[in-house]
Amino acid sequence: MAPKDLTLTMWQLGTAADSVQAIPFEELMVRHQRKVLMTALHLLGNMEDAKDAAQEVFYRLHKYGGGRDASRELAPWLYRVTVNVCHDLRRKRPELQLEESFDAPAIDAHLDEGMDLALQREMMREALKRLPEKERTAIVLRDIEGLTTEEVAQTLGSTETTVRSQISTGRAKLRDICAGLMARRRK
Amino acid sequence: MNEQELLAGLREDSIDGSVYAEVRARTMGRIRREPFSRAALAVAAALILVVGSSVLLRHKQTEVMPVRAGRDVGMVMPTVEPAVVEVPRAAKSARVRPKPQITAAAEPMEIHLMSDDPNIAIIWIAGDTL
Repeated sequence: MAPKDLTLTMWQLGTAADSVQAIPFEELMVRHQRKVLMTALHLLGNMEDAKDAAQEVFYRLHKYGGGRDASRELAPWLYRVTVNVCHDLRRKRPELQLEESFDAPAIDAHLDEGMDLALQREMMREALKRLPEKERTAIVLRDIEGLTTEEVAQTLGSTETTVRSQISTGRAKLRDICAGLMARRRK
Repeated sequence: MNEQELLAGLREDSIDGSVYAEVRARTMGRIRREPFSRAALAVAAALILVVGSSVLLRHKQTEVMPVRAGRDVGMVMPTVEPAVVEVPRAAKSARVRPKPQITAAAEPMEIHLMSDDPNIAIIWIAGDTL
């Protein structure tokens, strides 16, 4: 069981596989910072807001994380809180809504294969920003973070069928958006 | 390359270590500040209570009580009717009824309230007119 009074020094942590262990809270952040910050970055689309979101997630972990069962994995809890925090941030700041303007980088005729891939990824990042929030969240968790459909459904408090539908629709929209961005770039 | 592969490629995105360090430092700072901010909030609330109650108390003490007519403490009310009258006996033979004659001058009544509270009407009246 997690301690009621959480201190900054030691944290009860464990997974279903191993026994509960105590680790410093700061180390806990180091372990999970990548997934929290990257998820927030892909959901929000800019680093400053992602940093705010990550800070809020870890603050909530410290404040409310004691209520969770230490024998369960922390990652699903963190994903759920990250999604909620990003949702709250987006609601508070309407300017975080879809960015309509996309300035495709100037294309050099002699781009090599590696650069081309980087450009495609950049385009995909921009396309992600234009997806509706629910579809973007499902795709970020499923395709970028690599969670299973079941895990995504649990994180979002939804059903697997709904998540599959959101992912399928989201991928189709991404394809269209990317095609549009490519066409605009060629002009 | 299809969109799924491209999305999976975004997993390789890297973030500078200083960004992680900044997030950790900000979080730890916020967590450490929390007890102080709670204490400051509690002190501020207590201060507001104390100051507020003392101001209210002082206001109540210096408040001018509403004065109602004839109810002020120590107010002197002039008597309208003579305090003592004597009615002479009527003479058997008199046809005209004798009028009451004033034998003593009316003294002003001094009414004292026993309480400052206008809702309490305990008074005593000074003088020997009663």
